Amino acid sequence: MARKSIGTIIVGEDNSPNPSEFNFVLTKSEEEFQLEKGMYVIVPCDDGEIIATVSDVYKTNRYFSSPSAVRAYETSGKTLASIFPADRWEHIIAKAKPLGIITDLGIQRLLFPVSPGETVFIPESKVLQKFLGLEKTNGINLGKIEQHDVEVQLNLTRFLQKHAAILAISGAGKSYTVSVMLEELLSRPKKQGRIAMVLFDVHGEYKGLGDEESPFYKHIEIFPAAAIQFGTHALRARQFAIFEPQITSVQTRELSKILNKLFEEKTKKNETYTISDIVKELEADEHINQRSKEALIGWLYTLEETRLFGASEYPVLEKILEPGKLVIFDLSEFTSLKLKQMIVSYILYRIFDYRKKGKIPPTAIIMEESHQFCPEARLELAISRPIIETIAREGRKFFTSLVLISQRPVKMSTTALSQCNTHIIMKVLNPYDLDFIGRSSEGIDRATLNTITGLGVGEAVIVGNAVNHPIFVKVRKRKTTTMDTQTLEESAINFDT
Amino acid sequence: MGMHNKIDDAIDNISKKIIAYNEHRKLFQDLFRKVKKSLNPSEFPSAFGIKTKDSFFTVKVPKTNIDGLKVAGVDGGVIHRTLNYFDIALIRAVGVLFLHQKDDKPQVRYFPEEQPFPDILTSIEPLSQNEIDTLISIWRMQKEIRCGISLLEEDMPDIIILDGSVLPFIDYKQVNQSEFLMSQYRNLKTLYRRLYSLCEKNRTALCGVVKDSRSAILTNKLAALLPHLGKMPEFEQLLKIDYRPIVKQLRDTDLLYQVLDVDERTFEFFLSNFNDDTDQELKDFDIHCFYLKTAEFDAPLRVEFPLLFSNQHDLAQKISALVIAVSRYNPEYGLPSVIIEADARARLQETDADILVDEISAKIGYSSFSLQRRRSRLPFKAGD
Repeated sequence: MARKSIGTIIVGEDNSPNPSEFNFVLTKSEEEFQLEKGMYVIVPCDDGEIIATVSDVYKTNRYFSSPSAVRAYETSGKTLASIFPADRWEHIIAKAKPLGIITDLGIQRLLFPVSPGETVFIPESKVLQKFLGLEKTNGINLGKIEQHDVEVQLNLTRFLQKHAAILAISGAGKSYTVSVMLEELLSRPKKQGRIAMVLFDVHGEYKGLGDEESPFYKHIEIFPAAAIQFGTHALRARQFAIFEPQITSVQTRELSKILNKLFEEKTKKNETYTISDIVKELEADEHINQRSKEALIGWLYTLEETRLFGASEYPVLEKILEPGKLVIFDLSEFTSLKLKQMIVSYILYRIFDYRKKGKIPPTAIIMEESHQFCPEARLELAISRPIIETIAREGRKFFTSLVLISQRPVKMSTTALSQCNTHIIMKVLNPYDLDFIGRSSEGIDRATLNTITGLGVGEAVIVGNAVNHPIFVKVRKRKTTTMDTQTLEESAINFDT
Repeated sequence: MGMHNKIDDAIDNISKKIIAYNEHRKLFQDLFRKVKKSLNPSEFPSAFGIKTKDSFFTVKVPKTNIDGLKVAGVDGGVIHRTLNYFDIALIRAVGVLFLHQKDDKPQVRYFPEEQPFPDILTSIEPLSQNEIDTLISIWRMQKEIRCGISLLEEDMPDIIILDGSVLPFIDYKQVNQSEFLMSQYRNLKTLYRRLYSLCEKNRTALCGVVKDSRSAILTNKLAALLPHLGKMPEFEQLLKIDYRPIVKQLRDTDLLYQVLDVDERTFEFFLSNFNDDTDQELKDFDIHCFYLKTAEFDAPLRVEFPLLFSNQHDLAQKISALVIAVSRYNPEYGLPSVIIEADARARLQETDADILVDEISAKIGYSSFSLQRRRSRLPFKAGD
């Protein structure tokens, strides 16, 4: 298809064109072409093709340029537009910000101005994909670039290896976007490389993904929180100390000795053990300080009361995590944040351990309400934060990726969020969150940040490692209908009948 | 006495003179306004050279509904550069036709098109600066009249309004001294004749509107007439003041700005014949004119029209009604809407000529700077 010309570069009053800005007049009528802010345009030049984004669009009309003349004419009782052919004088002017120049040597920074009179075109899909660092096929297709019929297919490695974050206010479409992302990951054929997926579903929003009607039914397994059991034998003393932060380092060392002894004895007999076994061993040990012993036993009983600790692990993560499969841990039935954090902590610890040993496939961990699990708070309120931060720092080496989702990024661990190299930012209104996003998202400029409050539902800006430049994307329609779309009225009627 | 004191005194004196003159003038205008209805121009003695059939000095313009009427306007734009050996001018003219519609914006047609490419005319004739100015002026009028002709050949407007005079106003003495200029002038007159005859054939009213007329034809005649009106009691007060120097200095529009009300015109009067020495034995046209107040805070327009297909009173009423209808939207700017639009379309930018000169220079291998005449390329200019 022939390249579509839409405008001509003009000399602006703001010393443009210059290397960082140019203006052009739209040479097509509004019926023929709707020019919008955020669009990409291209200007051919001797060295290659300059690609730019439309940073602003405005209209001029000489008939309406003088307020006093407009007022004077309209005192006649007729509008200016009814006296003169004013619509014929309306011109659309666009300000564009060059992003770079595509040359034979690759994409380079623009260091010279474009020439007035040059023709402005709408870039073809392949040019835009190349420039923005998108895949033509086989990528993670999140939707289309706003105002362009170009799919946003993110390269899997660039998107996930160095972690990602999805940030937005409630109702902006975070979970929808996650569903789209999961559909893409679940649809990948073996030859493209499939990864395992683990999703912590805090509100039970993703249960429907595993329904029999779902096209991905066979590739999804859901575990309610109540069914989850920790394999006590898999836990080290340090982890007990994380679950119960009041355990001192001396006590942790004593507990470690007991656990090593138990592990050795039970492994020889091909047996496992429970917290009761640890308590018995503690009671029998005569070397431990009595006060430490009593404190440790007390805390172990407290942990046992959570009913999370058993002789064996369920589900067995090593077995359920398979390429192209999604495992959902439904935490919605639990009200205790501490229990939810303990589950997340245990599972992540195990996953990371298995990945380091190569026992499970490369895995993406998707975490809803991340600010609950890795808050910037003291440790007893952030039990799962250390392992999340560990994976954030070291996960890329072992292909263990995090996708942190949050509506309150300002409350999240800075360490974790700063390691998320790709941000999918949807509508955010809170000025503190916006400011935090501005500081923590690499590659986001002030102009892009300013547009975030105005994003609509299902609209997102992608910045960071997955793309070469910030991209505004309209998230595609889901293939599954998993969300509970009941209205408040419907929910009230259901309860009442 | 220091320099500052001298300047202060000079400013003081000038200001006093202006204030005194303005007060005097205002007094005259106010008094004349009071007596305007007592004057019957049709009864003026022929010796004063006022030929009219209107029996009042000011005439109320009838209101007209322009829905369904076609009003056309023509204007031109010109940019001129004098280079070392030749003159170059960019000239274009645009015709605009509004079909006025009830409760809707006018439908618009442009002639030859919305934004025509300008003609590029050059001359290597050895002409003086004044002659060059005359030539450019003729070229511009030729372009405008051709545009009007093409408009009339394609459509039949109810009225066609030219920006400026409806006559080819040229310094005839100067034209007469140059064969080249004379040939251009004859050509222009032929075009005017063609325009008039098309208007006559189509029964299209034709007029030219002059926005800032410096003419004093009316005030000169008044200056001669006023002393003879002393016997009329209404003029007693007016004639008591020292009106002569005021009338002598006033231009027609200065006087009429105060004297005319909005929607009022002066009596129409014979202005000139179309024919001159170049038109022997050709059909002549009487050109009439009147002044028309279209906007409260704007000077009256001078409206000129050839007597083509109706009597002078009826034609003046028709033209004034149509011109008023398309001009009285803005209390501060009373120009017909078609002329405003045509002007905007025809106007040329200085940069258009610069580009042309640069391109020519590039082709012939000169710098455009060296092509321009010395006075255009002064090395030190005020404001630089």
